Amino acid sequence: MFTLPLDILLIFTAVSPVVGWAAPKLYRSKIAGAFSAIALSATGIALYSLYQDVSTNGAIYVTGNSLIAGYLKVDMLSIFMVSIFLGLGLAATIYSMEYVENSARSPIYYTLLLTMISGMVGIVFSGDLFTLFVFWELMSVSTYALVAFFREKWESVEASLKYLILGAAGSATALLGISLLYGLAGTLSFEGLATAFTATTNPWLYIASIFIFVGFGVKAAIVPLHTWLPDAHSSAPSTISALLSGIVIGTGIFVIARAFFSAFTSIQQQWLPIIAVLSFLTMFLGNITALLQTDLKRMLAYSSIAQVGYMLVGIAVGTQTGLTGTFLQFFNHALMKGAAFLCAGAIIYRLGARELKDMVGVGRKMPITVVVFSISLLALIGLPPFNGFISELTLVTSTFQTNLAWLGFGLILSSVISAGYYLRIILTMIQIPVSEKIEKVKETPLLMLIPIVALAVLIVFFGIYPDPLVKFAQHAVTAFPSLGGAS
Amino acid sequence: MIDLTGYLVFSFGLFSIGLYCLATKRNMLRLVLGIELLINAANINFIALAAFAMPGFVDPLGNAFVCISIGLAAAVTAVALGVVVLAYRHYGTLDVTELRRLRG
Amino acid sequence: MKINAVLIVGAIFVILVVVVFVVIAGQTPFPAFKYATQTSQYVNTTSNIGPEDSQFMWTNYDLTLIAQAFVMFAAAAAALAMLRTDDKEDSD
Repeated sequence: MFTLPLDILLIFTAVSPVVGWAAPKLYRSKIAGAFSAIALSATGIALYSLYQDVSTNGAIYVTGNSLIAGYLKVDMLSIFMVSIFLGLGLAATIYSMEYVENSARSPIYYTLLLTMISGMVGIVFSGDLFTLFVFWELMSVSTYALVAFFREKWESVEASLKYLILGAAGSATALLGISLLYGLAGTLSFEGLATAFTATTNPWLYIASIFIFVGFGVKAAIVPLHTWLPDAHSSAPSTISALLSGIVIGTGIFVIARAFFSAFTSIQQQWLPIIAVLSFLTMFLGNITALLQTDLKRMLAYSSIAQVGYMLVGIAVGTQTGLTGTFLQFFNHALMKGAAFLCAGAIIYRLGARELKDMVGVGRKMPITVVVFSISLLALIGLPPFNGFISELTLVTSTFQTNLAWLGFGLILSSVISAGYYLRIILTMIQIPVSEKIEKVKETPLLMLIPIVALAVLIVFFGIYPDPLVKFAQHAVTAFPSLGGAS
Repeated sequence: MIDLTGYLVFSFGLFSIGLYCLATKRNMLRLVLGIELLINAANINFIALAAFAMPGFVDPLGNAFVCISIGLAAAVTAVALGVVVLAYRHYGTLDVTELRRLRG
Repeated sequence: MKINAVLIVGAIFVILVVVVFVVIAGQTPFPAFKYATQTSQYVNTTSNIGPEDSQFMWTNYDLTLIAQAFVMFAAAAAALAMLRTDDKEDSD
């Protein structure tokens, strides 16, 4: 079968509806939630033994019966990505045990959540574009249903419809690009594509690269293709917003990095400037539009678009340092934005309102939640004792090493602009409350508080002691063999 | 027989018809059909390219991909129609231009 | 069907794309499999490709078929989540 972590996760996913059906009705949602948490923990334990194996033996290949069919390729980068998927997934599952408790359909929620995470694990484990596309669709189908989970709200359904149309069109465009690559090379595995195109610049290669970039860029929310993101991330349930913003966006960046640095390395000089321009646009459009928002979750959704712009800076630079910065930024952003969305969800859950002006002074009543929220927002700006600083510093350093210094200055300027609305959120919450609706608000329930505090502890820990994380990311980026530039 | 260029022109033409359908139609069910058109254009591209691997031979990798891609298209269509049913229950109409309440 | 401006613009767009594509494809013909490094290892004859094709798929890509089975499972779970109604449902 597949490698052990993916096996365990898929088996638990297949069994989870049965658990949800067979549990006694009183504890049904708690038992289903506990089962999902056990599934993710078991996968994490299996992942650790796989990590030992890969770090001593190099990449693991799970192939079919002949030399050309390579379906799974597990290397250090895959393990890096899966560790954050499982970590944030576990935090979201524990949070959901309180958040979706009232819904009678909660067992199917946990099934879809496990399916989404298995799809993502499959994407980073896959060794050729065929398997990657199948797992990409697995992830996408479960996210379409999860955004529309609270189906009595009109905004969730409308956001899900818009997301579905754009996402499925993106997948079909990517499929057309994959077919052109197949026609040119006869194989779809990443090594096969890298060896087939080593020194050729055929015009059809440009056309295939455009289709693949547009197709996978829809899910990664790169600027002209980002219009689904503010609606979907602000109208989804808060745990799903945290997972979508944190990790699903990152799989789009991962696939673009994998495809572009293995199949399209021969035409690298042409597409690197284009990605640099798009990353500049994405950063500024995300941050400037977020300044104009009044809804809290919509503001966080636009800031996710800006952070994707930061991740693209590393890809546009194209060196080892740049890609280390990209994947570090992805890891840190998953922690920071996950914590921010979970805190925002806790505040909205207790308060019932979503506009920022209704939340004046809520920090006096929910102190732990607002402290964690402030930590995650300060980390998102990129201030020094938190982990956002390390990854943004790596990205800016990598742009100064090549001739893309304007992009580094753009990143710094964009972080300064983003401080405008992050600080506004913090200041709103720590003022003195003026309305009596705020007076009746209690602290977040315990099951929702534990994952929030755990994420905050990780943000502070990786900010003060970033060494193991940076070494892990540098080891992970050696999976791209054709990069230049020292780290 | 028809040259490979003819098949490529056909599949790209089908793709652009699918894009036109997604961009201009207002009925939600027609948007779902547009997505199906896009996926099937890519499938035709796979089959056509697999047939021209070597004269007299067919590459089975392309056919295998299409077998699986048809199943994936069916799954996406099923979920899309479920969301369309939910949207119809909320709005009472199948017109996408009525669904512009989320802005900004 | 109504002949309005959108229909005309769309039809012109589609025809324009096809024409531009024919020009491009005429200038640089598609180098099908020109860069393929492994030929004649798994390529079938044109006699009866059904059984040989499926044999190829089941020996080499059986894990992908299992993954597709999970996509079907996810689509069924998604349809359940969206459309199933119970009497005891609480709105949330």
